[in-house]
Amino acid sequence: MTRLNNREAARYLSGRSTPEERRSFDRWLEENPEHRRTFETVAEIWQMAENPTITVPSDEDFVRRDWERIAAAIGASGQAERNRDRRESPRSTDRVPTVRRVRRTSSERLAFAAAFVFLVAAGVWLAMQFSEKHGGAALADLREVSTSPGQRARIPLSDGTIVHLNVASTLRFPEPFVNGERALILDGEAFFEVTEDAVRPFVVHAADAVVEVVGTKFAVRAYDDSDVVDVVVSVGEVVLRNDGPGGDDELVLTAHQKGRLAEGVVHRLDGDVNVQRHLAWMESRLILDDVPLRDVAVELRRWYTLDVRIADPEIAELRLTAEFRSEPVHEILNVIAASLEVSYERDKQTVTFYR
Amino acid sequence: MSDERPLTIERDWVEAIRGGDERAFEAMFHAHYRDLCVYAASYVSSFDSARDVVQDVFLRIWKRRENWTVRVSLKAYLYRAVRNQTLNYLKQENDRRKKETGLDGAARLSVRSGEDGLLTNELLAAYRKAVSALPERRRTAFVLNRQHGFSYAEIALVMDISERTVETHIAKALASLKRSLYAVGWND
Repeated sequence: MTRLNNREAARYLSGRSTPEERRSFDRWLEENPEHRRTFETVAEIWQMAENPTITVPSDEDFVRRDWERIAAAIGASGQAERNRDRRESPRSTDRVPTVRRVRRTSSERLAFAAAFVFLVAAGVWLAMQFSEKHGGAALADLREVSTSPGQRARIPLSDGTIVHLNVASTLRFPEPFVNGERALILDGEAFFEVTEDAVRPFVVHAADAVVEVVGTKFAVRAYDDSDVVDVVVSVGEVVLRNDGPGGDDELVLTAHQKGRLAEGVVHRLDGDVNVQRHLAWMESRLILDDVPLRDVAVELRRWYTLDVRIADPEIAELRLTAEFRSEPVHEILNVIAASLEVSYERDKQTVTFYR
Repeated sequence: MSDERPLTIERDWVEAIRGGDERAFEAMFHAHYRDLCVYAASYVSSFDSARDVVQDVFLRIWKRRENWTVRVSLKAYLYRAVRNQTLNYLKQENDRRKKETGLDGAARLSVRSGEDGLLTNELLAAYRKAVSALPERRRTAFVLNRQHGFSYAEIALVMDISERTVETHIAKALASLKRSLYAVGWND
């Protein structure tokens, strides 16, 4: 075929192609520079299409105002006024959850009645602790949203907050929020756009960290295979606190700051933080800044479902700086190989780097 | 690399709302209202009209809450209801809409002579015009997928078609958009 098949292009761009279809499409791309040029036009439209088709008003308050119209129309006006009063009253300090020092046993398996089946994970243990701390909100009432490798999700919460969940991540939360709090559990990485509510603090539990905010935009990175939790603040202010063994260390982070919790200690990373680079994943861009190959392998698994092995231990420490966006996998592997001067062998989803 | 899986069924809300629970109704409103307005706005001429349409949908749900049933996905139900409501609204506003956003809209764009193609914000404006000129089914499938992050399965629920047909609509939308943008001088 010489003309671009739009159906195949859409499947390719949305990740719906089977491995054979992907390979066939890659081959077509390589046949002729014109093919690639046509494809890039379509890819650009694809990217552009994430933008809204209209300019959304920046006045977010219209949601609240429109709700009050509806509330009045359905005869719930008393409730609407009570909600407004609650939102304006000062925050009660004795509702801040206390930090408990308990050791995490990541291999505990728990069984539950009813129809819920949980996998063995630190997340389950964490959820138990969570339910104890947050007024015993039953585990069965937590809603769970998970993304698989290569998949992202956009989750609106009942208070208007939007959570952007990155690849291979899980978010657990009660719906609707209970006990005058907005608390959730994150395993992986997410960007939060939190609606302001001074009466109900927004609290994210991620590994050993607790991040608490009133209303702001920030990202949390707490993948299972890492020993650290990173928080980057885009707008507003958050409190990052240790919730694991080692004490109540905590820190306030403001816009364009990055904090890290490692081994029970919270510290602010120096220098001005480029927030957009940390959020590039939201636009399907994978940015690697001086990352050792062994960690690159982990990212490749999360983004492309590749099983990456490193045959020679010395090359695992080689550092890569690169940026990827919608390139086909073989191109990404070629870039890595060329930058680090290594070779690779690929058999379907298994890749082995060697020198 | 971007298909979003459908969220779990929000049965609790539906059950509660059927029983007249205002708090659940408010929670559902806050969770979806803004996005539904943005979606409705891809059909109607102004954001305010979009808000009116979506509010109508919510009021109707409340009015008939005792018999309200949602069969698989609440989100799909809401988007479907909004889509139907906007199509009704548009039938009444037919002529005005054609003048504002039809194919004429695309042709009205000027192409800068002597410069390479369109500048970025012009490109975005051209893209938006091209999207609003798409036939309704293609536009719905494409916008729900790309802008709202709906999976093909969810779009199939909203539009009551098969996933394969969703794919067809999206492919044809891409083809149309490419043609519209080339027609105004992009990527020459």
